Amino acid sequence: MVVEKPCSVRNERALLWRIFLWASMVAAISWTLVYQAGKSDPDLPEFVYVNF
Amino acid sequence: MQRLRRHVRTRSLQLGHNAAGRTSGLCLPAPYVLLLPIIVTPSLLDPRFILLLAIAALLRRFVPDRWLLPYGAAVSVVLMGLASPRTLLLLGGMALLVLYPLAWLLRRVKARQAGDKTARLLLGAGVAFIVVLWVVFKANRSFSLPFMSHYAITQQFVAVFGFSYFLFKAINFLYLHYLADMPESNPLRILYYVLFPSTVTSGPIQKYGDFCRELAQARHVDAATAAQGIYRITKGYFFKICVAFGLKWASDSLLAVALPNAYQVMALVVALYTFLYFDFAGYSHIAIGFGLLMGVKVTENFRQPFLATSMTEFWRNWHITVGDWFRDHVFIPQGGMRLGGLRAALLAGAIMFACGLWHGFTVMFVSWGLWHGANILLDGVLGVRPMPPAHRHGPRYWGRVLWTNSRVALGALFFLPTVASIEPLLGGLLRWW
Repeated sequence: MVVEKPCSVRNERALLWRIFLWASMVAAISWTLVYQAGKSDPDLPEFVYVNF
Repeated sequence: MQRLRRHVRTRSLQLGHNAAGRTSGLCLPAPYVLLLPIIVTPSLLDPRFILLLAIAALLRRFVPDRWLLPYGAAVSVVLMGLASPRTLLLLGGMALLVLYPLAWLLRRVKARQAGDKTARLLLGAGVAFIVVLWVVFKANRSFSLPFMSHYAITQQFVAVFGFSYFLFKAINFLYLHYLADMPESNPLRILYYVLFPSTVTSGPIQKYGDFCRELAQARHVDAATAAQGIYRITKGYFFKICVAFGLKWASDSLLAVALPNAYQVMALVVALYTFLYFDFAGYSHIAIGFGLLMGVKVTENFRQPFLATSMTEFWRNWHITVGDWFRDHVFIPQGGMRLGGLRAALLAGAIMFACGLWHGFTVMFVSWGLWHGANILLDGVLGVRPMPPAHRHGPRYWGRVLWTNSRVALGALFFLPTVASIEPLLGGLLRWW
């Protein structure tokens, strides 16, 4: 009989949580880009610190 | 030639050097134009650069172990060549014609008896040369803040990427060769170190020793590391494209208020401060993620800076690699904590002033450095130390966190383009109703 260790349960939950977070972030990024691209004058982001 | 010039001008605007779209009579010399068949920008927001990095990371899987270093160096050279041949020539040339020979000389000199003085002279000459070159580039380049699209702080455009970060890397490289008995350097390793694609423009600043350790353990990226890398990249883009972008919109809206009241000014200060965090932490996440995909663990740059209980603790957790660099190369060699409380705080304050200069030769950045320097000094005079973990709870702890963050947030106002843009905000602080 295989007894699941508590830490593996935690790891699985942590992994699922990470996958959920990752998917949410991808969705938010995609929505923002699509929203910007749909505007007549898209405001594209830049990094402040790039090319210091 | 006309078409080339037009192309260069268009590219320079796309690079974000003139946020207001004012070209200020930009005119580039002909030989320079010939050096600029720019295909990508080395920015982690350029989709073509991201695609090329991803392809390079994927192809790395098929490279035999012993070819990983030449492959990495070749990828770095090709990517920078596509983006800015001028930067490639400058940074690559500095790496191979200045850093490599100096490291070789330092090793030879140190092997001789009583060679310490000569080694120190060599180190001093090398550092002075790089600093002078940096001053020349810094004094002649432009800098713009994207969230200030209605302001322009553009001087002359000098298309060299990441020289400020190269400065830190190069000095670390020379200092390490001066301090430690380093083995014979491989020119490819130095080239790879200087041009590592995900960190070349904006850090995090990898120390040469750490980079060599990563290369010594060069391995193919396993599934777990790749997943971690992709997660960090996504998190970085989320920070940048969603969170920082929203804060940029909030800052722009609040700055547009003609007569702001105290609440609006405070909201602006918070928006600017958090914008700077999400912008730069986002960039760092992306750089670290791509580093993982390229088999190099890049140093972390942020560690919960909002929970700092003193200014020194804040600087240990915000832009960590710059703080570490100043600690290792300036603070400790100049005496560090051995100087005693007040003198150590004075030294730390002077370092913050230098850090302000590193950001740019403008009144605002120098004032920003002085502001942080003065606050570190104030903490030193008052004997404020970071709170130990056991005491990190309750109103006293949160009061300290609030006090530290308030001072840092006020410092974010110096990231506005001119003193004139701060004046109405100071007036607004007096209008509570």
